[in-house]
Amino acid sequence: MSTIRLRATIFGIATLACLCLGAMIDPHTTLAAYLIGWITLAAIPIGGLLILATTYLVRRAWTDDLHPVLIATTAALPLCGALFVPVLLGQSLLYPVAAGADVPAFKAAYLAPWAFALRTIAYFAIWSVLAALLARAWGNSARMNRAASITLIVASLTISLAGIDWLESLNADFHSSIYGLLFLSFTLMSSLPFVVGFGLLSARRIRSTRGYGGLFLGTLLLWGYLHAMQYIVIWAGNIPDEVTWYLDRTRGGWQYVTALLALGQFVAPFLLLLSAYVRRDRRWLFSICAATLILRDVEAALLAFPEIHDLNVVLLPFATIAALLFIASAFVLVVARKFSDADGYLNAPAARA
Amino acid sequence: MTASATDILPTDQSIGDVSSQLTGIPLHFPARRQWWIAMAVAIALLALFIVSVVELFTRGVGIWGLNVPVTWAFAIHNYVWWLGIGHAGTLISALLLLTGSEWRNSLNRFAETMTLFAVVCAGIYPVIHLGRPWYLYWMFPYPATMDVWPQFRSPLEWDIWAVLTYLSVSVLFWYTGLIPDLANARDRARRRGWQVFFGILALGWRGSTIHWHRWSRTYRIMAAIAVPLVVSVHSEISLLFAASQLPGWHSTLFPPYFVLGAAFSGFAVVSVIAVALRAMFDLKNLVTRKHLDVLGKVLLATGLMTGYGYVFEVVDALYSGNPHDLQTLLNRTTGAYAWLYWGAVFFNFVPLQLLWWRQVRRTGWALLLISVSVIIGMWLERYMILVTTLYRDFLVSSWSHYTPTFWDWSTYVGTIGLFLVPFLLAIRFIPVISIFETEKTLLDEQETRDG
Repeated sequence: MSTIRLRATIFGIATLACLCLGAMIDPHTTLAAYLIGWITLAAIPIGGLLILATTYLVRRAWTDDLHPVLIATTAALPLCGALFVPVLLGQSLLYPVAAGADVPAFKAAYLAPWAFALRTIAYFAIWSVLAALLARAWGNSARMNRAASITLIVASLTISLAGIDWLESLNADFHSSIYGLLFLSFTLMSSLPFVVGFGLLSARRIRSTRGYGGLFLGTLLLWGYLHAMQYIVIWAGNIPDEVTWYLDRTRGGWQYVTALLALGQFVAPFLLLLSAYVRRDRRWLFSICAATLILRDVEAALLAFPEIHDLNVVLLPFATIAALLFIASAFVLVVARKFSDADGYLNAPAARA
Repeated sequence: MTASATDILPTDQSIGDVSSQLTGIPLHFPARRQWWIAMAVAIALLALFIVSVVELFTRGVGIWGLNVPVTWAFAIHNYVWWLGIGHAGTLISALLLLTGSEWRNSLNRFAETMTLFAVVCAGIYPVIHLGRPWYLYWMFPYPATMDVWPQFRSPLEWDIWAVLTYLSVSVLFWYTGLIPDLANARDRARRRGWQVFFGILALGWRGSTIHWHRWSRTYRIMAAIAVPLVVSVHSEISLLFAASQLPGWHSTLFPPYFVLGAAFSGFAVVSVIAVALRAMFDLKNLVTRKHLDVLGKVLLATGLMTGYGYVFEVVDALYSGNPHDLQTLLNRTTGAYAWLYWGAVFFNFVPLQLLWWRQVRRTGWALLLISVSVIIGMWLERYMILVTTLYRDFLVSSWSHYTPTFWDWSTYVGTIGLFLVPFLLAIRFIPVISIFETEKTLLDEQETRDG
């Protein structure tokens, strides 16, 4: 594990240097790329909180199987909050309201930079406390139920509000009441393949994959359903402030990214997971998890980039990769011990074996 | 940390006793008096429905309280309410089958039965509210020989496809699940009439391995079709409103909000029926306090999810800053129909909080009262969504109010008779609880107990 930490330190320093260089060339583009990298990876521990709480309430094999990975993953929440500081400091470079856009009074007050920052701090404080509460409740059935119930209620509301803050508000005119739920499903789609993929790395922990395949299929359907419903309602209503959100994603090259996401993130895994063989096969399931994690970055980019104008298209892909590697390195570095514990747990003979 | 499997059925009862107890309900009906009283009330309500429909067809929809701008009220309101109730039957049965939740086995049969008749009550509304019901066939998917095409981009057109598909799948799913029990009733029947009746319906079932294998596959495939169908059908219902441009209706959250609301109200009705049948047929050994506990938990969970919809409807209206959305929000919370909004909030969510306590969930009458509160709350919610958006039109000169007339109420109350009459007939003539699935649960638990 120490080798991994050493590598993470080297990667972290190198990518941070790249990001600093990018910021000197074009701070606007670099910060936009950083936001995407951050959203992609922060969604894993945020969604993990919901999955951990659900495993406490629905006690099946997954409660044991995924517990160490989920505890390690959610322990990264305070770090995620700390890594958002560059975005908070550079709000005016990305968010129209912080840059002085003319918006209705409530929105202007709600998205004022200080209110935005305070809420973000509150979200991470709340989620970190909930993660600690869940970790401490382990082993005591009544406490597990209580902690999980509180977590699901509070986290569902706050994650939805966070999605509105961090992504929806990139477009000052757009609003969609399903957006919070879309972001919630975004975090689930990031977190589930991560924890299942990590669990699959150990042959002892996840022994039967069929249930996880079904679970992933269900999450995929939820994600696809929510996107489809937003699209149908906006298409039918045909109101300018709303349809422009889709028009921006179906022209200027973004139509190809949209098609890639629709086919790669929904159609292909959906058709594959219909097969009982694929759901049972560890390698297939692991491949689908890995592909999904890569495509999370594509969805984050599709949600955010079309709203941020005047991006340097040459710098953007390099900055995005640098941001992803930097944040991933920081995760590995800070929560390595937790993952080490999880890894030890995974490789230890299972209690039921 | 996986909890050890807890028995949901008492294991000190024999498989044969369970079989005799359940087939005994249609063969030697134990609650004739209560059944006839309930049937008399149901028939009276059905008669009221028939009179109301005859009056409607004779005099037209003018007998209802509709006006401009409230051109759409009780008919669509009760349509959505009934269809929502119906969805829980399929959800309980199909979703829990796919997730391997054994506790469904004591509840799925009457939940599915309830679905069928609730969908019929819902489906009757679009027919009678047409004004010219003899043109109903225009909406059907038939070759348009008159060159008058339906508007295929309208959710109103999608509606008839959705409901017909849902009804067809629900009937097939319900009947498929019933086949082994019909054979069981056939084999235990002593009178020739019952033997022929159940014999025909059992489709020659002999319980061979190949029969079970094919049946099991068919049942699971149908369940896998039914679950997305429930979600898509009720999402489509929400599009009747959300696809418009009206403030308060045009909301992207409506599809999941409606689906969850449907499950919420449906589980409330399932809880009411479970408590009532448990008392009526003395089924405490099969619909146990643990079943009530689980039903209470599911009701609480779906209620909280529905509450999410309430919160984010308000959040989005405030966030958008759109003056029309804000005005609609103000009308809902402080306007002439604020009692509907706050009534829905109260009845849906306040008594519901008692379900956090285990003792309340396991007490039949408490669960019954909370469920009735939810049924009222969800009825008020649909009323609120409809009227509070329509009564304040974009033009102030068009503002008006809506008051349901006697015929609105009589039609609605009559549909309760339309639901109860076939439902009471069903519990009289078919096994009200799935026999073979209950036996399987019991057998599994007994085997676990005996190691």
